Amino acid sequence: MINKKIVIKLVSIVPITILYMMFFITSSTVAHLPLNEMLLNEIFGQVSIGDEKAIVLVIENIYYIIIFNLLFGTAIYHLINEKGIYLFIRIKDRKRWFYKQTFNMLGCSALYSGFFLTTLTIIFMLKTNTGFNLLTIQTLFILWYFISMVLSMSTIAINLIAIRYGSNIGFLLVYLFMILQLYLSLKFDEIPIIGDNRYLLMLNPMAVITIGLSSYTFLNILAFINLIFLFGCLVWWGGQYVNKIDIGLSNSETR
Amino acid sequence: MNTIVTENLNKSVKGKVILDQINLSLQSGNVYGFVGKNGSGKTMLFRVICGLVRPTSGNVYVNEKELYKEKNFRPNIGVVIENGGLYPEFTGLKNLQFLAKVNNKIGLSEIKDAILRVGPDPEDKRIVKKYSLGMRQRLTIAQAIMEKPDIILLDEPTNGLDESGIQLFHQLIKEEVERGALIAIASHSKEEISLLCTHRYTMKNGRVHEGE
Repeated sequence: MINKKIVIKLVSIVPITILYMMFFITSSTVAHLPLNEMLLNEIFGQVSIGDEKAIVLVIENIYYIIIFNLLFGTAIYHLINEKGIYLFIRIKDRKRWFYKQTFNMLGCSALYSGFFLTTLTIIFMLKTNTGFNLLTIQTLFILWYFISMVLSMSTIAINLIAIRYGSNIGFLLVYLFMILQLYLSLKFDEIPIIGDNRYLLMLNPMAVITIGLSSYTFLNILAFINLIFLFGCLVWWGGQYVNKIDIGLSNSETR
Repeated sequence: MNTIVTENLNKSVKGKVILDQINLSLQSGNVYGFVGKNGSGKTMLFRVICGLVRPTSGNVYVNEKELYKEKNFRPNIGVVIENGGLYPEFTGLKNLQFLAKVNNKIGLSEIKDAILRVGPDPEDKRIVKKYSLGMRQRLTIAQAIMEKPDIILLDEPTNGLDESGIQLFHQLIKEEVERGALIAIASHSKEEISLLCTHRYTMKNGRVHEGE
């Protein structure tokens, strides 16, 4: 259900990004990097694997993930634990209901990351003299896909953990997991034996896109499929879990 | 004929026994009353019967179909459970429209009729957050009866109701029994149960005993 409140939440990333980038916006320097590289450098860091490079999310710049998680991280959890008693009495198929919620979440994350990337692109276009080309469009599409998937998966995971352990634990566990994955991405080439295998890095949801974009087609496809696979697994498991969970128990009964 | 049968029903939460070997056989045309102190298991019994909470062991049959075993079986039950469950940022009418949309069994006129039966003005533009406790309770009762359910489970239904609300509620129970609904009411008030119910049960420490 898209309502005014949800729209406001989705659009809120525009002023937040402008504020976050205010120092860059007000500085007098003009960047000479191409637009696609500016976008990649803002969102990702680089990891070397042998002679090749892969990009990973950088922890300093994940504010847009944190904000999305805070805005939507308890939406499904609240329906199940507090508001949903009269809703769930009427729902015949809880799994289908949950799948619908996750696809709504995916839609919200796609819109949110769209607003975020559009804002960033406009800001960078003001500061660079390089134009908008095919590589920029390609980069934007990959970033949009990657960010949307990470946002929706992390938010769904927080909601599912929150149902059982409360929202604080949900946030804590998901962020610990994400930080661990980021750390493993950044230190990947130092890991013995597997550190030379770039295919294994692509299985890490936090390090999924190779920097050449068009140069490593197979790796890109592998990373894309991996994210879809992980999303599918999470949604499937969530459906099984929600189907069996007790609805409307108070906190004193569940803890 | 609407029926609820429970066989050796048990529910434990975190090792604590909430329901202990509940065996019941309830039929439509009757009003069943469950009296017990807070924490005696009344609300949990209703949650299990209406499909919100799975029993730890035992079986629940609603109209001869086994709950939790038959795929996608959701009995036609109307429920009032003491904790919230309404959207405070919506109006009363919008709350009920949102719930009715899940199964699309009824339209706007039936929703408005249900609200009128319990008292409030369906066109009231105030959001539920601004309702009094009694108004919220009336709206909760309206959502329980609006789809003309076969079975109605009411947990502390007169909480917060004033004298006129209680009279309307008693009238409503009579009408629903005449319609053929099976009604079960849980309350800590013996007087209310004696007044409304044809059969009375007492709940204590998760067990059910017939009579008061």
